[in-house]
Amino acid sequence: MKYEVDADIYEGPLPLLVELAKLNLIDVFLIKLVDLTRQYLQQVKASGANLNELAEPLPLLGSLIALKARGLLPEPPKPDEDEEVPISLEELARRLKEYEQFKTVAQLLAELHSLQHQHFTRQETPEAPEAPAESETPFDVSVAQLMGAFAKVLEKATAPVYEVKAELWTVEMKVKELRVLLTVKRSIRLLDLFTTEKTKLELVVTFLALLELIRQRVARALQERAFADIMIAVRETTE
Amino acid sequence: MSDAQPSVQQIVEGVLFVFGQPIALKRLCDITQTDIPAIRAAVDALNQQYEAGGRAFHIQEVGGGYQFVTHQSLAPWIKRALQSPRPDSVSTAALETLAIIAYRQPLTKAEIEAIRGVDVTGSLDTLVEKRFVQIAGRKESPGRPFLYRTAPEFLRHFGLKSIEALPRMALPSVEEETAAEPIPAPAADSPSNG
Repeated sequence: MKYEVDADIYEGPLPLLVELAKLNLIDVFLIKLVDLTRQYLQQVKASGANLNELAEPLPLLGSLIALKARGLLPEPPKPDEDEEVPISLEELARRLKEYEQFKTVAQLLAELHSLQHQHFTRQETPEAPEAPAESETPFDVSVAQLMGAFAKVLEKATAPVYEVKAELWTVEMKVKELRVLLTVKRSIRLLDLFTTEKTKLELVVTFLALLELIRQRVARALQERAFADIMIAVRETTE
Repeated sequence: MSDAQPSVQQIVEGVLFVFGQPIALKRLCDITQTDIPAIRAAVDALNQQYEAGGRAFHIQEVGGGYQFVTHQSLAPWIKRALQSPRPDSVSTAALETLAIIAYRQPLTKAEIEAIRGVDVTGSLDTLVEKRFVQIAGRKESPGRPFLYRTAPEFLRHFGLKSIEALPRMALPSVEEETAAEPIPAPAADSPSNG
């Protein structure tokens, strides 16, 4: 996002202003922070849309304020042991420079990304052919992937939502159920844990119980290979 | 040609044709029972043939593997054919966070925030969700915070052969050099930080 400011002696993009102030090419004391703040607030009220974008000018504005505040102080404040060591002007300038570098690189990355997306690969093979079993070992599935798999389950939940009087299912209950199931079966397909005739609530509680078991290191989530079904298996205790 | 044993080139071409994901160099070696130089040579030769023959695609090396990709110039038509709903874009904020992780990995969320000066929870979530970034363990410091690093998917989506293929940063890492000052100062033995 291009964030422009208008501060009497300067009119243009904010990053340049910070750069100039940092290099002492513009006297920070001639810039009214009140004006910049007002402009920023107007912008926030006007757009109100993307939080990420609204947050973007903040570090720059903040560094301007910090620069000015430092300049106002007659002498450096006594370092308070509990607080962070006060940041020197040089340190601030260094951080800004470092950040600017990453901004530049980020633009490069954006170009690489859009360039790569001009190239199209073959569509992902629907059923990845069986790889020789010895070459691939099952690997742990991340919580994000579990959530993804569970999202698919929720989409399929058919039973209508109705008002629940008492707690029909508790996580504790489901944990017990799953423990029994796992003791008997040792390993089970994730999708088999969630049959579609259950209500969303019960499915959610089951999922929470599953996460709890993984947290307790009783169970683990595995995939035979990429794109395979997620399996829930008993974790062999090592203690 | 039909009776003879198929060449490494043909095998590589055939395997890549079938797969929708990049195939690791090592895997191709296993399949063809040859070594890395042989595979590279086969890929180069194939790409030369494609170029000479004016084909619509070539073999790309990405994240340590190979895959078929179409030419850039065909993008508009292929997009139309795929009817892809929206361009898979990444926000500026997320890209900045990604850049920091790519060049400084592995590092913690707090370390990223120290550089960006803003909270990065949102962009970090996005990056993990897109599988550009993954958790690489925990730092042995108070609170044992997660360490983040780039994931294989990152290389694929940015067309990079490896992390080393990232464009160089304009300036050397500011960490070790106090920059700006070209004073040789060989005897300066006091650490710059107080």
